[in-house]
Amino acid sequence: MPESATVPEPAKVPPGAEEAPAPLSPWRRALRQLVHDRAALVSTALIALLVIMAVAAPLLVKLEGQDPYTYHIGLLNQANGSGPKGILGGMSGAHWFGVEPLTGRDMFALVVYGAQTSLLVGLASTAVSIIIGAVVGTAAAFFGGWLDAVIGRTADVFLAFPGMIFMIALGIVVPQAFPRWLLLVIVIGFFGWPGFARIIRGQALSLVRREFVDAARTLGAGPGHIIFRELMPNLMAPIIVFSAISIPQRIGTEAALSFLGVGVPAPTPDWGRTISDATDWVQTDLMYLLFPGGALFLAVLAFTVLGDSLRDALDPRTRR
Amino acid sequence: MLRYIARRLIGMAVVLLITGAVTYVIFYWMPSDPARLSCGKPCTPETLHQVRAYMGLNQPIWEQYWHFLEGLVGGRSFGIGQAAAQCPAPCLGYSFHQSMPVRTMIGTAFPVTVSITVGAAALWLVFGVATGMISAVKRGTWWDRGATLLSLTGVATPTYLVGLLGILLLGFQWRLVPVNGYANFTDGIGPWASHLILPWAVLAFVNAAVYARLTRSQLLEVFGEDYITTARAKGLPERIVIGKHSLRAALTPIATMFGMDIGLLLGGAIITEKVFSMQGLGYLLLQGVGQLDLPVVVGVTLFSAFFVVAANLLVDILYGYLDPRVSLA
Repeated sequence: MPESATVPEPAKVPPGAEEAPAPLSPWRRALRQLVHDRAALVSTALIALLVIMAVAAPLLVKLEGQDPYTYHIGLLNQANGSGPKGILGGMSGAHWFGVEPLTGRDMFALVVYGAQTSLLVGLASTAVSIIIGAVVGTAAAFFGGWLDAVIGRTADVFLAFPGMIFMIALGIVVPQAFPRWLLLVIVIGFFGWPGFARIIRGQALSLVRREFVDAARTLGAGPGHIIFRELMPNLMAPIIVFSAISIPQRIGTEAALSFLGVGVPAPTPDWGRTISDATDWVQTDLMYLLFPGGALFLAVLAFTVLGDSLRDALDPRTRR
Repeated sequence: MLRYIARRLIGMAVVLLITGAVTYVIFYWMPSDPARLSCGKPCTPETLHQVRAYMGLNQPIWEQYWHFLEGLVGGRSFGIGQAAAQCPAPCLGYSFHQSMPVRTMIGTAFPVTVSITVGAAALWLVFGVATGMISAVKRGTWWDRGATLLSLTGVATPTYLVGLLGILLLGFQWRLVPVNGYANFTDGIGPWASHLILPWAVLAFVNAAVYARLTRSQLLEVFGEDYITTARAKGLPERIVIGKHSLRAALTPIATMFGMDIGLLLGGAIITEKVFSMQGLGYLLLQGVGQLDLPVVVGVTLFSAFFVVAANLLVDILYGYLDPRVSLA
């Protein structure tokens, strides 16, 4: 869903179109604003780079001539407890980011492959939340009555749940045979729907009383048609903005869970887990911490900045 | 007002009941059997059966949960006669792993978490709101750019990364603060604060960033309102326009977030406690999960959920005072 959101269709009824016939559709205007926003351009470029890094990880690592699983015990210094030989974590022409202490695995490969996990969980869990949140939120606004009440109370229960604690508990309870990345996507995504549902419901409430919904109803359209074909396209702006704000938080949550040891297990490369492993090495091999930490920092930063810019461009309240 | 609070209190109890039930159900399907873990060797079927009966695991899940709820109100004991393990009310469960009531364990862990939370919260509220105000008032200047950059850095850096770098610099390199651990408040305010200053600073840095961003955007939104223009047109000093008229309106969302954040942290500053090796609620929970100590996990989860739910309620009640437009009907 986030992928399709990047090429939005023009809204059927542009918000505020009745008051003043704008020469540009809101989408065009937002796009124009984004193109002139330097922060948005830089962060988009950074995100594009991250995505390329994740998708082309096997290629990049092949270019370096390494892989994330081979041990290079020979490159370790037995004298200091198997830290990397040489300076800066053993950086060299063969190992661009050096090697991992204890195992001698290639750090560049670990960081590049780690992007796969982070982006996959960050984007997919946001998609899970959007799908649930958008359907449930629009349905609550459209049908109202008892359904609205039930959805509202359920969202309250979810918001009051100590989500992080539950995720930790689930990480232990679910059998190891179940793929961890999928578990993370489901769990993080599932705990994130109430926020989406509330925002979407609020926006949808103002739409269901508009003429175009009445028109569709008069023409005999069913609830399914109205929700998916009439309301949803007009809710694209808040959906995009809220997803953009959520993605960096999700990437952070995934890394935090892995840092706590209940995320993606070894040997799958993961930034959070590598940072956790690096904890014992901060004094002897700082690079071990700085490469995955820097990658995580840049990823969260880029998505946060882009989220800000998208909100400025798409949210009519912040437009000045 | 009273009716509203009564209704919310009932809602709060329902949420806690559901939280407890869900925790129970999740752990009922746990891959390993807690009775087998504490059965000892050799574990004959008879001993296993005895242990199961002792721990109350031979009952159906809903019955176990019911006994838990009973114990919460009236206390309970495990086993019969002299050797029975006592768990006085309010009994949050009994850890067979540690041979003590979960409440006792929470009792030792909670002060650590409270110490971390209170100090950090005070710091981040003051610095976050102040930074946001400077940013908003001096919008577009270098002040604003510097503050925005700083808060973006804070938002994008995970707590544990700041914590680890802080330990490395302030603890190992400059030897200004203890590297980890916790000193009781009763051992003197000096050692207590010196152990906590780094966790406070780290949590405050990361959270203040979020508050600075929120304060800035809220204030900028309020500055566009007509009544601010009116206040300025009346010739009110800028100090009053910003400090009284604008901040008051921007305060509601800040208070909401502050309440939620404190509630969450009181339930266990999981990551901070892990990074600084402090044995608070978060540590207790992680340990309980790691040892498959079901009573600890359920007890701590419920205890944590209580703070989240209570914070929710407090914030909603405060709403009415902060924002006269909100009526608690």
